Amino acid sequence: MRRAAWFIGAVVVTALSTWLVGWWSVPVVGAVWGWAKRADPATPLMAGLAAMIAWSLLLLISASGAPAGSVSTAVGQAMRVGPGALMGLTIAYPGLLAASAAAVVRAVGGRGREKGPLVAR
Amino acid sequence: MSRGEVPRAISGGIAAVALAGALYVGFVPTGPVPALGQLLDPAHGVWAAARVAELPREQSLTLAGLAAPVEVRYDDRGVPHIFATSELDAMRALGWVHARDRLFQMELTVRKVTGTLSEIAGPELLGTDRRSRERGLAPAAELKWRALSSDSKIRATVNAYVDGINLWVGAAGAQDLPVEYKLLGVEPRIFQSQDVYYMLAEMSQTLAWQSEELERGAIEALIGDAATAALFPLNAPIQEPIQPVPGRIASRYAATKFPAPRAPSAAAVAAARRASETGRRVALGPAAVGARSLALDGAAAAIENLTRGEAVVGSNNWAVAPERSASGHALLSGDPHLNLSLPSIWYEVHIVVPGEMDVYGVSLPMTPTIPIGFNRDVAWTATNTGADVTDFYREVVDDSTSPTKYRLDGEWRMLEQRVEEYHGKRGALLATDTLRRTHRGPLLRTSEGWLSLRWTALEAGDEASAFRDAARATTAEEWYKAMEPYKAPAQNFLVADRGGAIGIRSTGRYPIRPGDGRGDRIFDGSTSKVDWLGDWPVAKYPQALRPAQGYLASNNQQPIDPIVRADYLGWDWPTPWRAMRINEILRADAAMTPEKMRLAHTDPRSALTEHVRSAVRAAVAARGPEATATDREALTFLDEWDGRFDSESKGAVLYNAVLQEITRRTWDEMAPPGETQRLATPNTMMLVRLFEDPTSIWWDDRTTTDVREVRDQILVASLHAAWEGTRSRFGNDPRAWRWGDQRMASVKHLLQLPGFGRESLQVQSGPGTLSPNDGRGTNGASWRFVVELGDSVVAWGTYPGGQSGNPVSSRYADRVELWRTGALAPLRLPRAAADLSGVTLKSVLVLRPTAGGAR
Repeated sequence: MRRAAWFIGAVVVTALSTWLVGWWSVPVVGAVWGWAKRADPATPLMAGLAAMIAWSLLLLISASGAPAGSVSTAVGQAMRVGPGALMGLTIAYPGLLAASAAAVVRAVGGRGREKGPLVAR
Repeated sequence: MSRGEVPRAISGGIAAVALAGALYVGFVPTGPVPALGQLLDPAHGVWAAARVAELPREQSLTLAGLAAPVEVRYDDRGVPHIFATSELDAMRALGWVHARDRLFQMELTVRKVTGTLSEIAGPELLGTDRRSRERGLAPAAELKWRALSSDSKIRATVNAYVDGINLWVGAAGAQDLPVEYKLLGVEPRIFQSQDVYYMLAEMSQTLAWQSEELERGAIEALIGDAATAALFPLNAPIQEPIQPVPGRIASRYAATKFPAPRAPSAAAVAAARRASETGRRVALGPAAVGARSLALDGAAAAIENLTRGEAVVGSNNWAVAPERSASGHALLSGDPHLNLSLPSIWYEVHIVVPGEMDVYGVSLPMTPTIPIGFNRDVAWTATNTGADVTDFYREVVDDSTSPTKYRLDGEWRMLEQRVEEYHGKRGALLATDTLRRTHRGPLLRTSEGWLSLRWTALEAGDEASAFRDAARATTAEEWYKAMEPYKAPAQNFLVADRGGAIGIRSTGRYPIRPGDGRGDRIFDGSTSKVDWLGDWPVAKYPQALRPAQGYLASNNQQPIDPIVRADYLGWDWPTPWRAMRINEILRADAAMTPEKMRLAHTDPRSALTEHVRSAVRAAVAARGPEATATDREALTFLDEWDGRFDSESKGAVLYNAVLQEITRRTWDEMAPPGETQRLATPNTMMLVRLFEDPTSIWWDDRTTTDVREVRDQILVASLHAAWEGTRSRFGNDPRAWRWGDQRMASVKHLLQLPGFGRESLQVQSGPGTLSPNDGRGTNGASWRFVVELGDSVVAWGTYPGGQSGNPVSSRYADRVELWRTGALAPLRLPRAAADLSGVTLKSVLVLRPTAGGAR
């Protein structure tokens, strides 16, 4: 339950920080989560997933202003990557940023002191 | 390190590499790919284009510098109707709405003229930048701007307009910026007032740059002076002039002789190649590399084919006086043909300042002017005059590689010199050039020496003031009076007013040259005796007001018949087919209506067709039994064609193939021996005149050294080859042929980005029709409109694009289909803001002054 709450919170924070600050806030959020939940080995995966969902939600909001797929079609062709690839890249990229940031912080931050087998002394 | 920590360190290292890589591509552009972070950011990157694609239903903003509120009502076609209480407020609002819809296009225009495209698009455009700076348009535009007195109305107008642009840019967030900025990874510039004059200079670059005299040297070297003079003559051999000839309604066919081409010697071919290279060098710039990587100019294509008749030009305008219209009101119509692009070169707008101005038309984003449009009393439109307003002078310099002086009248004069630096996207220095000027203008280095350039576009003129004042005219006479300061590019301005007057004037600066007055050669620059002596007075411009015939038209043809006045205005004039066709339509109908005017824009017939078809018909008949069954079958098919260039036409497919075959076989002497690429191609007017000379040496196919062919052999052979070639290419069953599959329009994005253009559009056009298409389809009617000047003004129009420059907006290309079919939309003309409401109202923008009011 707590993990689900953390996850939803991360989605919201990532979306808001991207909207208000910019794309580079995604690894920052990932890093913060990686530090806070460094005892949980699933943290990088969850951080990445949360960022991907956050950006997907933002894409939905942006797409509301124009016919669905118009940006991916036009810009994808312009960038010569195809509409699907542009969409996929946009969703995958924050996942990579957040997950890798969380993993790095978790790796350098030690085991932490949270519950579970990894924190038992 | 414990055993458990080892895998964590490894995974941490892998994650660190992944993070570093992701951050790197997020922050740093890689090759042509911009920084991905900003680009993919769904809130601020390319995806945000969707969020700002549509106009908000209502919006209220403060705009610094306004003296009073301005209301901008967008109608259901996306046209902003600007209601202001002062001209300066209206212009500030116009700058704002231009920036909102067309910012990147405006930036691109400014950068093209100033030669700074490399700074946003990289070194691939260095060649284009070098050419732009070499021609000196930007310094000339700056001089025009600085020459304005500090209290001139146009200075205040321009300043207000540019303020409006910068206010939009300053308030825009990353999400608001055009997607092109994000794809290029650059930020918008801060605009300057002189940028407006850069845009006007760009029109000269597009419409009044001519360096054909340089290629003419190549043609003379190849075929001789006499043949060149006949094939690329000073005067069109078929006269259908813009200025009516009193008492004459038919075209005048001048007797024409085509002297034989001289036998090309190796030396002549070498000279031709050198001259051709000089022409290419001047047209394309000192380093043409990359000039074609983006669709920023048509020079490269234009230089490859000197045939100006069909390929490059196509603008039309025509008007009828009240006595020749069904309603008893004057009618005016126009369709300037330009390079087609998305966003379109034009932006439709309506500006109302009660008691001062009420003008509707198409504006050029980056200018506060309406070059084509109408007010409540007068309508105006333009075609390109194509006058010779550039001259080249071969200069004697003190040093062939790095000159500092040039010789004039026996004395050395210092060259003006300045060093130009070219920078790349991130400020890196790409190259430097030393640019030089003589008293005539820029000095250009070519393989044949140093040439200086004199060009009316580089000299004094006040086009912005002229357009500003003309928009307030209430009669045709007032309109022409206001346009007297207009110098470049020379345009055939057609005007009609509500009082029933129609008029046309080829307006611009035409130099008076010494001697025979001609400018179709390279001059000896060592003497000042070749310098321009002054300009034509306005009274001498080709013109007509209230002509007895009751109609006027211009289609880029020679403006004035040389039997009326033979002063040199240019050479190698475009073909008269369009003029002949529209005049035929106007002569035949004394009850013109706006609908008939509309239909003429895409009229499917050409005055050229019957010339070619009858010549081929006669040739087959003359061959008698020598004509094969195939020849007769092909002729029957050609004869049964109704002469219409409709999309479904079958005969047009064969006709076009025949015309191409005749051209190829007839003008083979225009290519150096052993080659197929012609240095130049005489236009179809020359071909039609050559039909009158059945044994001319020009009919000879020089590859058959033992036979001297005559006209009929070439025409029949062309028909035969066209028939076989068309069957081979499109199938043996002619019922499957479709003209529409061959002549398509292509409206490409300014950067030729795939996905942002609209291509393969089937349009009604053909060789010599009023809507010509050279096969590439990249030129066409950039705006079509019809105005009826009755008790109140009624108008219809459209252009191949849309008001928004945002590729995902519903207003980006919403007019393309209407344009493709030749239809026009009614233009909404509210007198007051409240007149635009209900379903015709799409969006309301209220711009309010800041608390401090006007600065």
